[in-house]
Amino acid sequence: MNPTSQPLSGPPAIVCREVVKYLGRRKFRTEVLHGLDLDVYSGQMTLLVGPSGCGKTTLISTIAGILKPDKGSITLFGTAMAELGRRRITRFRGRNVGLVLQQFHLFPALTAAENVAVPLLVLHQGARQAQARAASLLQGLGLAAHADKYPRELSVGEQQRVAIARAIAHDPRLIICDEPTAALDAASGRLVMQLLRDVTVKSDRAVLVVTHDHRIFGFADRIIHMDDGRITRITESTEREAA
Amino acid sequence: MLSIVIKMLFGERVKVLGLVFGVAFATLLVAQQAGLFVGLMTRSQNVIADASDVDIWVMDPAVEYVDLIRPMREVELYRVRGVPGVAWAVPLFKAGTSVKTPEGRTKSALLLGVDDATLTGVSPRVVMGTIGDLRRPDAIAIDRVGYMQLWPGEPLQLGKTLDLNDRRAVVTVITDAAPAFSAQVIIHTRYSLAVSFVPTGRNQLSFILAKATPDLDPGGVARAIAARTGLNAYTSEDFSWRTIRYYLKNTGIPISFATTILLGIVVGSAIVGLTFNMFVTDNLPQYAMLKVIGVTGGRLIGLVLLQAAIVGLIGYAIGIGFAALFFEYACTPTSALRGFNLPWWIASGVAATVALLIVLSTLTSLGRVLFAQPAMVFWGKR
Repeated sequence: MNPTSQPLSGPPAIVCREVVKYLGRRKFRTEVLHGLDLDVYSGQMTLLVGPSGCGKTTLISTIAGILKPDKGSITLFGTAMAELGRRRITRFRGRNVGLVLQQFHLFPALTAAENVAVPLLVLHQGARQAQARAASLLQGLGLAAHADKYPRELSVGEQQRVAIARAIAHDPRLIICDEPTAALDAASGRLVMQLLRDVTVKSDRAVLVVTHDHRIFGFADRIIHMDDGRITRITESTEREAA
Repeated sequence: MLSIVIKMLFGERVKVLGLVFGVAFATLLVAQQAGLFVGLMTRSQNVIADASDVDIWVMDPAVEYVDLIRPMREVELYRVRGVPGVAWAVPLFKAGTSVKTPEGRTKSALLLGVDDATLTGVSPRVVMGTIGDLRRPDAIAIDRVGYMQLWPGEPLQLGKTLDLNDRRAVVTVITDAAPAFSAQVIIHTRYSLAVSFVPTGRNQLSFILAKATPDLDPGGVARAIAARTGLNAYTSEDFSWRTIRYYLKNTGIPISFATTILLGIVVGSAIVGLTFNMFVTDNLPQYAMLKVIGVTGGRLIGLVLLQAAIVGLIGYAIGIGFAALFFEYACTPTSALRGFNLPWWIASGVAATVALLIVLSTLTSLGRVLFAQPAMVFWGKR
C-alpha cells in the first residue's frame, strides 16, 4: 500500500520521502525509520498512532527539524529542510512550527502570559505586542484569571492549555502535539482534544498529533498508523464513519 | 528576550546567590589584597614621595634602595652642588631609632634630618604648627598617627617632649607624613639636630637631595652627577621604582600577596564554575526548549553569557563595594592602616579579572548549552 493518501485540497504541508533515521551510536545504532513516505495536509487534524517504540516521536522530531534524517527528504510548506543549515532550520521552526509537548516544558520562572509570549519575543516582536497577544490567547482558552500565575500554581490541565497557547502564539503553519492526553483521564483528554481542534485546526495550518490513546481517535480527520518505523495504514474520518 | 532571560536567571535564587557570592568573594579578596599590596609598596618609598620638590636623589654607590643607608662624606654635598645643571642640593639624614615619652611609652621611629636652612624634605602636609617652627631649639615634627600612638587618647598638642637617645626633643610641628614601611613614628627635624639625636660614625650624610635647573632634564642632570662624583644619582621617580623593585625582589611580600590573590581567583572560579555548571545542567531542558521554539545556538550562547554577565556585575558590585568600605573605614588618615586605598586602576583590573573568571567559569557550561539537543524535550536528557 502506498502510505501517502490523497489530499483533500492543495499540496501537502508536509512531504516525507524515503526518510531513514538511525538512533544510537556504533553497536547501539538502530534504524528507527525505514524509508518512510508521508504526506500531511493543512486544514486537518492528523493523528500519528502506533505502539510505543514504533518511531512516532522520532518521526515528528525529524519533521520539526530537531533531528536530521540520515536518508530521504522532508519538505515543509515547499521548503526542503535538507537545504537549510542548522541555524536556518531553527529559525524556520521558530516561525512555522508550534509544539505541544507531553511534559509541557513551560518555563518555571515565567508566568503563564510570559510563557505564551516567548515564541513572539524569539521572533523579535515587541514586548507589549507579545504580552497583548498572550493575554488574548489566554482569555480565549479561559485562562485570563491565571495569566500572572506561575506554572507551579496551575493545575495540569491549565498548564496544558498554556502550552497550547504558547504553541499557537506565533500563528505557526504546523502544530505538532506529542501525547497531549497521556497524563489525563478520559474526560480531560476529550476536553483537551476538543480544545486543540477548536483552536488549532485552520485551513492554512496542519496539525499533527502523536498519540497511542485510542480514546481520542474520533477527533482526527486522518489517522496514520505506524509500526516498526513504517507507516502501515492511513484511515480517513469518512472511512471510519462509514465503518 | 532580555527580561525573559533575567527572570529565568533569578528563578533559581539559591544558585544565583551562590554565583553572586563566588564573584563577590573573589572580587573582595583580590581588590583588598591588591590594594594592601600597592599601599605597602607605596609606603616603602614614603620618604621620596614626601620630598615632592626634589628632582634627584644622590647616594653612596652601595645603596640600592631608600632604606639602605651608607653615609657619605659631607664634601660630597659640595661636589654635587658643583655639577652643571644642579640648581640646588641639600643634605638629608635618615636613621631608624626609638622614642620615649615622659610617661615611658616607647615606639620605633624614622628620623629624618633635613637641611637647616631650607628645611627641604619635610612633609608638606602640616596639621599643627608651621614648618618654620622646626628652627626652634630641640624642635621636631612628628606625624599625627605617631603622635596618637605615643599619646593615645590625647588631643593633638604642640610642646610635648620626647626622649630621643637621652636627648630632649620638643614637638613643634605635627604633620601628616606619608606612612613608613615599618616605623610607627615619623620624625622630621633639622639636619644638625638629627645627627645629634642619633650617634653615628664619622660620615653622617645619608642622601643628597638636588633640584635640576628648569631648562634641563632631571634624568640628564642625574647622569651628570653620577659621572662627575662617582655617586649614584637617580630621579625621584627612578629611585621610587628601584625601592619598590628591591622589595618585590628581596622580600616575600609579593609571593604572599600573589598567593592570596591567586587563591581568591581560584576559589572564586571554583565556586562560580561549579554553581554555573549546576545552573546550566538544571536548565538544559529550558535551553533545549528555547532551541525548539526557534532560538539559534549562537543567540542562546549570547543569552547565557548575558546571564553570567549579570551575575558577574552584581557580584563585582558587592565585592568592590565591600572592599571600598574596608579601605574607607579601616584605613582612615588617623589609623595605622592609613595610606592604603583602592585606586581606580585596581578596581578596573579586578573588573577585568572577574570578567575573565566569568568567561573561564562558563566555558565548559557554554559547550553544554551549544550542544544541548532540542530532542531532549521529547525524550529527556540525551
